[in-house]
Parts: sequence; C-alpha cells; structure tokens
Amino acid sequence: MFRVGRSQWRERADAACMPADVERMSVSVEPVDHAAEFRDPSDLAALVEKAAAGDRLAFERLVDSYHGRIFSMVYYRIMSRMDAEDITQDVFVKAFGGIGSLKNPELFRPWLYRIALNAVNDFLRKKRLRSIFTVFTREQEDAGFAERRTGPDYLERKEFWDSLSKFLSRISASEREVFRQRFLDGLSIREISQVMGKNESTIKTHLYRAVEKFRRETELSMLLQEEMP
Amino acid sequence: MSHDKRPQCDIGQVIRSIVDENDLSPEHLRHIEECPVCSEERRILAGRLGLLGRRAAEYSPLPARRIVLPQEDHPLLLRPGSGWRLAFGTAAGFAAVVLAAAWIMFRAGFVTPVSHLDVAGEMARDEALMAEISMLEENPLPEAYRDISPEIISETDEDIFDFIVPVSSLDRWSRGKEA
Repeated sequence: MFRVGRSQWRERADAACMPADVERMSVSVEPVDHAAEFRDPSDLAALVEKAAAGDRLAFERLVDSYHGRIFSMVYYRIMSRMDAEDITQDVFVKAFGGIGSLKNPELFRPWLYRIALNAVNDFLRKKRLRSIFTVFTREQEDAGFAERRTGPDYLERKEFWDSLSKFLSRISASEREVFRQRFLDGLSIREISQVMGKNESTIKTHLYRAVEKFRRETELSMLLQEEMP
Repeated sequence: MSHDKRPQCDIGQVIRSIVDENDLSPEHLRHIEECPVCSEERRILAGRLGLLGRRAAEYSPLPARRIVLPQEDHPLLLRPGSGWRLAFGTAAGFAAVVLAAAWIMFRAGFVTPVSHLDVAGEMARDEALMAEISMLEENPLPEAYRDISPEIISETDEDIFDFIVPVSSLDRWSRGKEA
C-alpha cells in the first residue's frame, strides 16, 4: 500500500519519475451504473416528457428504472431498510405529483435526487426531534431484519458500513454529502451541483477535500485494499 | 540557469485528476499518465473509490416493496401550462362567491340603505345616551339607594336612628351607666 505524507510522496515520486514509454493507464472511478437502460440521454428525456404530459405508463417505467437507485441512495443515508422503503415510496409519489412542473426533462435525475435528499433530511430532522423524547437504540431500529444479522457475510457488511460511517463522521457535512453523491450514488459533478444548488467549483472543492481525507483514511483503505487486485 | 518546466509529482494533482480530469492542464494530465508513481497512486485511489461504490451497492439490501402510485392522474395544479388558468379560475370563483354573498345579505335585510331620517334618529339616541351618562357621572347611585345615602342619613331621621340603635339598648346602656 502506498500511503505516505505529501512531502515524502513527492520525494519518492520525483525519484521514480520515468519517461513517456510507460503504458497509459485506464482507471475508472465510476460506481455501479444502476440505470444502464438509459445510456442514451434522449431516451430518458423522451420518457420524462411523456410522463410529464400525463402518461402513467411512462412514469411507471421511470419508477422501475430508478426505484433501486433511490432506495439505495436513501439507505446509504439512514441505514434502515424499513424507513428507506417508506421514504422511497414518498419520493416517487411526490415525483408523480410534480413531474408535470418539470420544464427540462434532462434535469430529471438531479430533480428526483433532490426530492429524495429533501425527504431524507426531513426524516432525519424528525428523527432527531423524536430522539429527544424517546430512548432510541440501534437494536430497536434493526428489529425485524434478523436476516441481516444471521447471513454469512454479516460481519463483512457490518465492518464495511461501520468503517464507512466512521470515515463519513470525520468529514464536514458538505464534504460528506458530495462524497456520497459522487462515489455512492454515482452522480456527475454537474448533477451534484444541480441537486445541491451550488456551483460546480464549490462541489469540486468539497470533493477534493473529501477524497484527500479518504486517501489518508486507514481503516476503510485497509478494508478496500484487501479486495483490490 | 535553466528551469525545468515539466510538471512535478504532486498528490494534489492526482486527486484533482480523480475529481475532474478536465480541470488539469494537458501537461499535468500527461505527467500523471506517464509517471509510474503518479499513475500507480491514481490507480490505487481511483480503484478504492470505485470499489467503495460497488461494495456499498452490494452490501445494501434491495427494496422489497413495490412503489404504489396514486390512482388519479397528475393533479391539475401541476400540469404544464395550467398554472395561470387555475390561478385565474380561482380568483374569479372567489370574487363570484363574495359578490353572491353580498347580494344575498342585501336581499335578506342584513344590509339596508341608510336614509337622513335614520341618521337623525341615530343622533337623537346618541344624545339621550350621553345625557344619561352625564347624569350617572353626577350621581352614580341608583335611585333606590339614594334614600340611604350619607347625605340623607346626615339629616335627622328618627326612624333610621331607631333602626340602627334601638331604644331598648339605649335604656340598658343608660341604666348600666347610672348603676
């Protein structure tokens, strides 16, 4: 593993710098593309236009394509399957009611994610308020999902989520949200800026800082390092 | 003295190339691609980030419930181009309701036209009321109590004295004093 300080890294790098005959690399940071169906953006735009004009079947196709993505997006933020199901349902009902007002069909993805992000933030706000009056435990939250604790890869999953949540808790809220949207939800910089209502430079700055901290993160890096080829 | 203008290895540039390749100059980009240390660092970091996204997707559950959409179509309010029509319709409807209510009240006698005679009658009633108020200011006690007010008591009234201090007790008091 290659984890050294900035100056040490530079020294080593300078010493090892080689001329142009090194093979050109090909690295992808893109996470899983859940909506492979819409490789051509015009397909998605056409479907969104139909849905906005009141075509229920077109909207149902959009739901089929984005259900998993929105559910995962919500789950990554609240870590409760039951609540993620409820919030995802609400997100699509809101989107169904509001798609007629979406003027630019190309903005469907960021628009849908923004609805989901608002729903998540509302949920977390209410949960925080409830926690003032009730004693809340993680065990209670997970009750009813025993299969999660008995599966063969439960420990692996738990270790992964614990490490990720520790890392995310150590970075600022803006960095956290941008990092999640880029590397977990798979949104582009432009889409993130549309979801968060900030300009692209600000998003890049937050992302840069988050990636820099991720690089220095030991526990999570070790975990992922083990799986790297 | 010659200066080497070639880009130097910098982890910041490597991170920047992961955040957005387009932000880097072609020289920096070429350097990162050609330098084994930079390219290796980029490969590892980008690989970890990619793996993070894939693991997150793999380790999160799949939705079990189907999305149930409302039975009715999109609300009229949110249909494209229907906003101004709906706003105009709502305003016109509200105005019609207000006018109808005013007309009904007028017909039912809640609202009647005001004549000079009514105004004169109203003024007379006001004057009578003011006179009554002035009288009460001068003598606030009701008529029934005026007979027993201090001014009247101050006059010699044997009946009241008898009532307050009966004669028998006066006798007893005078007898005791004498004794």
